[in-house]
Amino acid sequence: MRVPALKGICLYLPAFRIEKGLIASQYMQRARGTRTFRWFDEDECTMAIEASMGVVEGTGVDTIGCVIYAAEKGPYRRKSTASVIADVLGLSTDTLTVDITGSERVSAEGLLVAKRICEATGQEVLVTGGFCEHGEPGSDEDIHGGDAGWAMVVGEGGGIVLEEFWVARANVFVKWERGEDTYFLPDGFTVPFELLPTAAAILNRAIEKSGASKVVIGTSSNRLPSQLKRKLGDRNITLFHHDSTTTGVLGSASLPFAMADAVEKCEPGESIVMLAPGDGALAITAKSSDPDNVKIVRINAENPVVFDLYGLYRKIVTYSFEEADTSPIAYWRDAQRIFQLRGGKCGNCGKVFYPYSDLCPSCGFTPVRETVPLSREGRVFTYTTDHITPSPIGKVTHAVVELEGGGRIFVQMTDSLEEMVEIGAPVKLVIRRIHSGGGIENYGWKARMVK
Amino acid sequence: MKEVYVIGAGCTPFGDLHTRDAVAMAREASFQALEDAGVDISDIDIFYVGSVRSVTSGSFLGNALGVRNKPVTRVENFCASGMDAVRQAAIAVMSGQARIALAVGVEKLRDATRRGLGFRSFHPVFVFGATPPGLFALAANRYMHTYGIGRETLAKVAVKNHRNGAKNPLAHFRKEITVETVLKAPIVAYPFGVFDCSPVTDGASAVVIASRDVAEGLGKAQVFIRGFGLAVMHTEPMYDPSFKYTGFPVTTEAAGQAYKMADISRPLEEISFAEVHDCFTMTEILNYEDLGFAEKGEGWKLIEEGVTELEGKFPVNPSGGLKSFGHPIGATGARMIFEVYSQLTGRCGERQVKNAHTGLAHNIGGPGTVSTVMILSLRS
Ligand SMILES: [Zn+2]
Repeated sequence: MRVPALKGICLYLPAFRIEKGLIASQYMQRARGTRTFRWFDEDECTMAIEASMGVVEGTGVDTIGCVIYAAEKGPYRRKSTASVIADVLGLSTDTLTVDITGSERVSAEGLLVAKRICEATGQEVLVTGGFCEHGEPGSDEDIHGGDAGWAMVVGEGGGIVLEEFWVARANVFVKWERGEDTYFLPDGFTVPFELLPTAAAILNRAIEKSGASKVVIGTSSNRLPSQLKRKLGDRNITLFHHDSTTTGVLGSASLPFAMADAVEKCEPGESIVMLAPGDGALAITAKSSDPDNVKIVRINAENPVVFDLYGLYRKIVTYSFEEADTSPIAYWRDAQRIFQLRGGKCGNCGKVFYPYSDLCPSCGFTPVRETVPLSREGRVFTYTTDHITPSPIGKVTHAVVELEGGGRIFVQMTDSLEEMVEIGAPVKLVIRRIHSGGGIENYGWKARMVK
Repeated sequence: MKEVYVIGAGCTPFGDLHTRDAVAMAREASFQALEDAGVDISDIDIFYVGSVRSVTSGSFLGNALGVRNKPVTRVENFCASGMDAVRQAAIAVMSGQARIALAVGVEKLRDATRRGLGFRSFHPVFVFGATPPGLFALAANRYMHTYGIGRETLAKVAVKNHRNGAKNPLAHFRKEITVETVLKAPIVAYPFGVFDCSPVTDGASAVVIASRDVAEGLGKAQVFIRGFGLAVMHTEPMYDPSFKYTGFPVTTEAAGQAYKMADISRPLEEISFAEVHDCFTMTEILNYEDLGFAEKGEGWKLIEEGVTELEGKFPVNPSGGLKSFGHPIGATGARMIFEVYSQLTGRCGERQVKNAHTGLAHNIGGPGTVSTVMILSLRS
């Protein structure tokens, strides 16, 4: 009997925040705290990738047999996002990739499927997702939404064992969005009353069965946990949920964010119930065997850049790369070279170069057969800040980066409003949308400064 | 090898030629060159047209010059296109295939309304968004970091070339500028401000090349092509992990070929002046080193010490260079030959280099991808 358990959680927040009050004040409203927002080259997929690379950093990807992308939505309506993620991680083409989309409880659904796959095959499963919410200007989503990515690894030998689940299905339009909607439009029709009794009922059952003392609620709302608390009677339960004060509401990403907090406070032997609301609710019970054995990584949790310009913020989150042109065929042909951070290694001069080519760009030797993995860490060899390259901030810094352990890469810098980088400055490579020409998201490598 | 001569040259004014299309510009420069040479269009045996983006094929000269049933080839080699066209014409005459050849370089850039040349993507994501100033700025920042010079030194290149260009009736910008103007201008691609960059310009230039027999028959055997070279490497030097960004090896290679052919071993002493590719201020300084006018890391001293001023020991870009004359990409190389020919024949008025007997012309294209060098001398 295999025992699927949580081995790691990585939480990714974009580097940028904006005061909710600043947005609200444009529309004669008030709000407090900050919200996160994605940089113009980020989307649900790249944020999931940031978190995925974070959760496997140090341990590698050799044991991962399946990637599940679980989020309300992805960059494409009809294309696998998990496959993009698996490509970037360099997983073999027989790795199972699964996309799950739907309501806010989708992250819990992903976790549940991961548990089943692990039980059936013994393979480690990477579950990941991204959440972006901006809505139309002045909407609740514009003011109170948030952007984030997350990733969890489920496999044997983890610290928190996933046990049973309960579901209460209800076809509820609490939040919805049709494919053709430009913005999420929650006008008029919401059914907030259905949720509470449904969720409370399965939560009570899950607590009774597991004897849990901690409940993780997959929500960024402060109201739902306090309402649920009242329904739990006089049980001694600690409730965890994601506090949206600094990040904004994170939708399905709320569950992993809250779960990380609970795991950090968890004692061995303690049980946890994860409750994810959304079209009814889904509850999963988990038993802590060795909570220290769950790796928790947080990216950009500290020292965010706080924007004080609403117009620029909107420009960034709605930016489209109109001037770009490309071919999905050319992109497909080069997908391996683009995604996988592997360089060619010349059989003649020994130089390592990127992108791979069977002809060495340094000495002209061919055929170059060997490829080697490249590091995501490096230092700026030279750079320029180019004010002609199209971007919503009016400039793009391009850098030649010398990678640790050899190889050079020529990339755009990202996550910065600053003009300058310095020669010798440390940077880290990340996957971003280079542009959206040709009707596709042209993901590729960029670099951000290491603070 | 057979000696070949430049027997005539023509050039349109460079600038915003809104009333003329590429065909009209090529026609103007070509017929000027033919008139200067004293030959008729029917005397030309072979034609080359250099252009990066304004010409699709050789048939362009059917439209521009009324060429019928003669060999015409379109030459494209980034910023070296115009000089490569001249080089092809020289080779055609040297080989005996042609007695007289015409090379014309032309570029129409100002029909576009956007800033600069924008960027062109050659690949869906690699090098995406890189622009010409940005690619040369990579070298500038590395050079400045390595040798400890500042933007002021770069600015002096622009000041010098504008000073020369102000004396040139065909130049795009005929206005002197100060170091302060250069430093205060808006940044295009750091460290380059607007005045560190050559302008986006329309223009055409043409050169007529003839065999020694023909040139002597016409009484035009004055300026001969003493040497030339062309070198090309990888289109993206930034993929090469050994690329140093403190110079462009293609220039050194092209110059080496030309010096060997011209039997020149001490360029600074044996050459009177040079027209070099100052697409950006930094490029001119790198060219000094790559062409052997200065040791690596010391090219900036030539500008600081005034060596390359019009009145200096070794004038560089007496025409005003790309910076002030303008840079219609495919026309520029032919325009340089026009300038060197004009200088050697003493036609340059206020900007005339004194006692000029040998002149060098140089292009670099792409961010260190291709380079041409050509050396012309007065017949002794
Ligand atoms: Zn090699």
